[in-house]
Amino acid sequence: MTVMVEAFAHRAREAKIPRTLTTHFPMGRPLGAVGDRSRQRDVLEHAFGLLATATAPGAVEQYPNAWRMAPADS
Amino acid sequence: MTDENEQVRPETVAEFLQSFSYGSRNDLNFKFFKSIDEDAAKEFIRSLLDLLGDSYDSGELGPLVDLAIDAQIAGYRPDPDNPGKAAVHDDGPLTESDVPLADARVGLVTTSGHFVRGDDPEPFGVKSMTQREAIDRIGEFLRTEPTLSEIASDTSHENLMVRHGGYDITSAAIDPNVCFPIDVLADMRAAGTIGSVADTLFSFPGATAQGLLRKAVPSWIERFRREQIDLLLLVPV
Repeated sequence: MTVMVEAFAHRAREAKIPRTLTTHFPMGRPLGAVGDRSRQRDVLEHAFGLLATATAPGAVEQYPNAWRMAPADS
Repeated sequence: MTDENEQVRPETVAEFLQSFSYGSRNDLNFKFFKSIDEDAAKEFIRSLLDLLGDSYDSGELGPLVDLAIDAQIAGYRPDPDNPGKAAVHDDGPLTESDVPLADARVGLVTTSGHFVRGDDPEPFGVKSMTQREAIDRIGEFLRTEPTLSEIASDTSHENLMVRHGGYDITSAAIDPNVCFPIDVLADMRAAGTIGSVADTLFSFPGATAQGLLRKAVPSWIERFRREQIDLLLLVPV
């Protein structure tokens, strides 16, 4: 089983990876901001969630949450 | 002595935009400027200043970052009239899961350019190559087969290094989890979300010769398989 987290939807569609979660985040930080462990983990949980929801190869889904700076308490 | 009649040619907008991509204003966060047209660049700067002014009162920087990300996506989107060397891949399979995620052994491959201290891939035979030199030699990287680095999944931050001439590594050097989620996977294993993490994780700098990469991949896959994983997580930067 394969899952990819990627910043660019067009590249994900070209790559035809079985399951891809795209994140609307700055290049080089596809999982979230420095120190934002809860957001980084949430991204991976969404990505792994595709194992249950993807029904055809090349599934591309957009992560629903916007970029944020790390919360002060993280 | 300056010739009073000598005319200094003003920089064009196109030259200004190009300079952010390995030029006099090199900034890997904004190297996509070279790919956006002049009107889009002017609109970007206008919107940037507009949102910056708003932030004085709101304190909200999110709209500024969103603007930059939208521009980044537009900058990297292939021109439909000139797609260039866009990657073309075969349709991939969709292997159904026969192992619950909570029992799955998870592997990781990233193009972030991470490696372990003491196991520097030493590109072009250079010991302790700096990020600056990697940026300066990006053209050579793009003609060379990459080295796949093996990273033990219990490697400490202190021993995890990163170098990549194609993107801004500032965040990745401070917190590898922004693109190499070594601690996030450990957290998920500890919480029982996933079953286990492979003993060895993998990374290479994705700015590389794509044809040579394609030739290398079959042998790399054998190395991934030796980790006896159920699930492979790919994180390109």
